[in-house]
Amino acid sequence: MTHPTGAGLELDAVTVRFGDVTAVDAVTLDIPTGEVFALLGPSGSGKSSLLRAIAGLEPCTGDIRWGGESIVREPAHKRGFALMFQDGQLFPHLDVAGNVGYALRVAGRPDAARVGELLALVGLAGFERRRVTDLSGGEQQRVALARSLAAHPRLLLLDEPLSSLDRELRERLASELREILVAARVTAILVTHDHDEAGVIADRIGILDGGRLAQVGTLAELRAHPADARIARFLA
Amino acid sequence: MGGDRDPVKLIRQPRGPRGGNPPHVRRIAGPTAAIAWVLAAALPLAFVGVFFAWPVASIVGRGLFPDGALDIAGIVEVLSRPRTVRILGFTVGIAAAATAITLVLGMPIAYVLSRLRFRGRAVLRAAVLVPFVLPTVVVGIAFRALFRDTPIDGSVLAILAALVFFNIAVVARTVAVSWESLDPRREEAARVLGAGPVRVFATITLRRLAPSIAASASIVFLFCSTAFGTVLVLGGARYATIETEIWLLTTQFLDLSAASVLSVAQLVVVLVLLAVTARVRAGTTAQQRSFAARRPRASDTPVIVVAVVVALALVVPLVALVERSLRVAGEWGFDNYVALASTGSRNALSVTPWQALGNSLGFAAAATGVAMLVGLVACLLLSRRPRSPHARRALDLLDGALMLPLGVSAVTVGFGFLITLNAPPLDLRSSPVLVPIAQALVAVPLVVRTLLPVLRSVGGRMRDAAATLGAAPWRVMLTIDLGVAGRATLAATGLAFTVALGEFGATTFLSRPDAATLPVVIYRLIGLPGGDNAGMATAASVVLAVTCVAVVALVERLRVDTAGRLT
Repeated sequence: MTHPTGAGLELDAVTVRFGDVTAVDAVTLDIPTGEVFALLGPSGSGKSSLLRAIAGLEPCTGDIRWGGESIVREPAHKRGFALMFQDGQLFPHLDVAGNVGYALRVAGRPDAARVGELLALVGLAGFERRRVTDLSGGEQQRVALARSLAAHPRLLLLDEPLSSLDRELRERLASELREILVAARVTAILVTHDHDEAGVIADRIGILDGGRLAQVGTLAELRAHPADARIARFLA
Repeated sequence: MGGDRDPVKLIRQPRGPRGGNPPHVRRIAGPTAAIAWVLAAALPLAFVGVFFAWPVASIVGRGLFPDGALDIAGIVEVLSRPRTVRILGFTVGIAAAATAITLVLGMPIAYVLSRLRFRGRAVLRAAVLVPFVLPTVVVGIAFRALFRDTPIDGSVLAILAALVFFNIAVVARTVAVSWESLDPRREEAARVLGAGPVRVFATITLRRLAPSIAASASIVFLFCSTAFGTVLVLGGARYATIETEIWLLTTQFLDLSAASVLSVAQLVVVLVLLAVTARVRAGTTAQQRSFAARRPRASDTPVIVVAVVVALALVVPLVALVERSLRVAGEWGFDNYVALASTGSRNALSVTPWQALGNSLGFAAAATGVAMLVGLVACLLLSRRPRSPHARRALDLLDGALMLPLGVSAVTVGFGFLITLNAPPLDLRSSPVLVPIAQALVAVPLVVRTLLPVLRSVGGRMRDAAATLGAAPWRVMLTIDLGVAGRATLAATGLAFTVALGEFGATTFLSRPDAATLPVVIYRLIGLPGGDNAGMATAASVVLAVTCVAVVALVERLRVDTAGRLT
C-alpha cells in the first residue's frame, strides 16, 4: 500500500515483556504521516507500554520502522519522536520558556520566537517567565504539549495527556488538542482509556486488549461493527 | 482488524515468541552505556575501598589475627581488662543517656518548626543547626568555658550536656521533616471523637512519628558513641569512651593490638546500629507533601516555652566561649586574639593559629572537592532504578557502603590510614594528601544524604521526557539531574566544607605539626596549659566557629534540608 503523504510508522510484531508478563503481544500496525491515531484500551491493556516501546524507552522484540527504515535499535533521544506524559513531567527547575525551549536548546538552535509561537498555539501567550510549579493542571499540560511540539518531532506520542484533569476541562481541551495537532500538522499517537476523547482527537482508533491489537477503525466503524462483545461493551 | 493493511504484511509471520525463535530483546541502551555506568560505579567504590575498607580491614586483621591466626586469647584478654569493661559500659551508658535527653529536648523544637508559623521561625531553624556544624573540639572548649570553676567542669554532666547540645539538630530537623508530612486532620478526627490533646499525641501523633524518631535516635546514638573531640576535651583522662581509648592506646601506650580489638568491637556495634537504621529508614518513606503550618494558639504556649528555653540554652555555651576568649587575667581585652599570630607560650605550636586556619581552609577545600566528586557520581548512580534486580542489589550495597564512614569512628579511619598507607603500593604517610582524603571520607555520607533525595525526586519519567526531546543520556544528567539538584549541590558543598573544617578524629592522626589544622592546634593548646595557651584556644575556637557558622548561614539561605535528611 502506498501512502500519499509517505510511509510513517510501521510496527511489526512488536512485543514487550516484563519478566514473565507479556504486556504487548505482537502488535503489527501502520500509521501514515499526518494521521492522529488513538490507542484505546482499559488499564493494563498494554497501551502505555506500546507507546514507551515506540518512544524507545522500553526494550522490545519485533521491528519498528519510520519512513521504511528500522529504528528499533535507535535510543530514544535519536528517534526524533516526542513523548508527552500524563502528568506533564515538566522540569521544575526551569521556567515555562525553559521547558518549552528545551528540545531546541538540546538541538543546538535555541529560538525564543518559536517558543513564543508555541505558547500562543497552546493558548499561553506571554507565559514565558512563569514558574511551572505555579501553573494549574491544565496550564501545565499545555506547556507539556508545547514542549513536545517545539523541535518539530516526526511523531508525537501522547500518554493519557488529559486524564489528570477534571472532566469539564478535559472535554474542552480534547477538541482544542485536535485543533492544535492538525494546525501543527504532526503525526501523533494518543493513548487513552476514554473512547469519546479518542473519537474527538483521533482519525483512527486501535483497540488494545490484553496486549493484542483487537480492532482498528474510526469510532463510528468500531461502534457499528465491533469485532466481539467485549469491544462492544467497552465502547458502550 | 482495520481496513488499510498491507497485504504483504498480513502474510508475514510475526517473529519472536510466537514464531518459536528464542526471544531476542533489543536493548536500547547499548553496551557503551553499561560500561559507562560500571566505570561511574568504580570511582566511589574505589574511593571507599582503598581509603576506608582496606584500612579498616587491616585493623580488623591486626586485632583478630595478630600472627596470622585468630588470637582468641588476646581478644579475650583485652576485652576482659577491667578498664576495657568500664569503658565499654561508659560508652554505651553515656550515649544512651545523651540520646534520651536529646529526644526529649528535640521534640518540642521539631513540633514548633514543623507545625507553627511565626516570625523568627527561620532564625530558630538556623540556630538549632549551628551546634551541629560546630567542630567537636570547639564544642568541648565552649563547655569548658561554660562550666569553668564549677564542679561540673570535668564531670560526666559536662560531657552529657555537650553531646546533647551537638545532636539536638538531628532530632529536631529529622522529626520536623516527617511531622510536616503528617496530615493534621487525622489528629483533628481523634479530637472530634473525644480524645484529649495528650491522648491524641500519645496514641496518634507519636505512633505516626515513631519511625522518624527511631531513625534519629539511632543516628544520635551513633554520633554519641563515636564522639571523639568533645569527649577528649571534656573527659580528659578520667572519662574515656571506646573512641578516645583507641586514640590513647595508639598514640600514648603504643598498644596497637589492643586498639585494634577495640576498633573491631566498635565496628560491630556500629554495623548493627546502621543495619537497624537502614531497616527503620525503609519505614520512613516520607510523603513529599507537607501540610501548611498554622499560627500558634494559646494551647501551644507550654511547648513554645520549652522550645524557646532549649534554643536559648543552645546559645549559652557559645556566649561563654566568646566571653572567655575576651578575658585575659580577669580583665577584658583582645590579647587572646592578638596571640593568634604567635606560636603560643613556651612555643607550644609549630605554626600560628592563623597559619593553621589557612591550612584548615586549604585541606577543607581539597576535601570538599573530593567529597563532591565522589558523592555526586555516587548519587547520580544511586538515583537510578535499573531493571535488573542484580544491578538494584548492587546499588543498595553501594548505598550502604557509602553510609559506613558516617558511623565508623574517625579515629579508626585515621589509625587505619597509618597502618596501611605507609608502604608501597601506596606510601602516602609523608604526603599531605591523607588529611583531605580522610576528611572527604567523613563528608561523603553527608553529601550523599543531602543530594540523593533531591536526585531521586527527579524520577525516571522526567529523564524519559528529556530523552524523547532529544537529549542524550549525558545531557539529561547535566541539564535535568544537576539542574534540579543545583541548590542541593551547593548546600552539600557547604556542608562538606564545614565537616572537613572541623574534622578532628582522623586529622589528629594524620596532620603533621608543620601543616596542622586549626582543630588540632586548638587541642594542642589546651594540652599545654600555662601562659595564655588556654585563652588562645578559646580565641581560636571562636575564629573556627565563626568560619563554620558563616558557611552554614550561606547554606541555610539556600533552604535545602541538610541535617533533616541524615536518616
